[in-house]
Amino acid sequence: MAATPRDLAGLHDLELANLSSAGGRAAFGELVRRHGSAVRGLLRRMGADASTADDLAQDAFLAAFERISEFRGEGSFAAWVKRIAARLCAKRWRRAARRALAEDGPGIDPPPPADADARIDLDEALRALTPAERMCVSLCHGAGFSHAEAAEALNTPLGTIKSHVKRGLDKLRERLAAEGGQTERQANG
Amino acid sequence: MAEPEFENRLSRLFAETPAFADADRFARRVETRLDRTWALRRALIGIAGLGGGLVAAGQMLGAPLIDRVTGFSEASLTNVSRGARALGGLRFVADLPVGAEVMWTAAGLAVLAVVLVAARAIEEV
Repeated sequence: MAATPRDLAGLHDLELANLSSAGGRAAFGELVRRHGSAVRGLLRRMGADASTADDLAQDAFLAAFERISEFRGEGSFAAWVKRIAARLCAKRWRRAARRALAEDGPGIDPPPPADADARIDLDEALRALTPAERMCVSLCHGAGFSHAEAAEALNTPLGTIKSHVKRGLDKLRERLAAEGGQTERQANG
Repeated sequence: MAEPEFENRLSRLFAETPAFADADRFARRVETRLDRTWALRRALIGIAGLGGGLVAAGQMLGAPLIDRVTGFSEASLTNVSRGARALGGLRFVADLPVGAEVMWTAAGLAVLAVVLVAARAIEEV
């Protein structure tokens, strides 16, 4: 008998992945329901606009379904699918703005203001970064890539990645510290 | 703020999942695309099966076709053997106890492997 959505909702990600591996599309749908927002959020933080982020997220989930048997539960499913999505986004970035990383110019249009329901401090702070810094910081801190993996994904020298990450982190530290101070003042006042 | 402390905070912030009002709609869109891909795949497999079946049926019914293919296969095999003998060093190829069917199957598999490698390479680029 086929599992009902309620049955699926009670299963662990790994169990759902095993069911998906046997062709269970409903089980995979439950995984998409659970982790879709995390993947879409990451892609927007990487600098993709809303519709591009959604397209990439869909592609990432379809790719994840194709190789679901490779997921063995060593890490979380969310982290696994985020890496797939981040690679797709990096590939798109590489094609669209090959020169932007080297020149540190605006290769992709800056993203529009975030939806009200997706807004948190980090999204605001990321807006202060150049597209290249944003991409590198999100790859390394949002998708869990090492600097070397980011360099490979973006086809960019390791040193360039490191400097983008460092400059991005410096800006984020400054922005997040300022926002933290403001919040504290509001709470006290 | 110390570097590791800040980086931990940053990782926590990245791990926070923003709420999307259309999360369900997004999941349904993925499921729809998944269903469409599967339907397309099933259709392609069906078409390939039907095509194979028709070719097989055609071969069974039209004996001259079988004879022609067999003759062509044997001629090819003879040419390959002759070429291998001519090269001397590849004598073992000519002496292999294989028939025309094995040669054609091997060639087919080789073509399939090349197509798969090319597809993979295109995907990686």
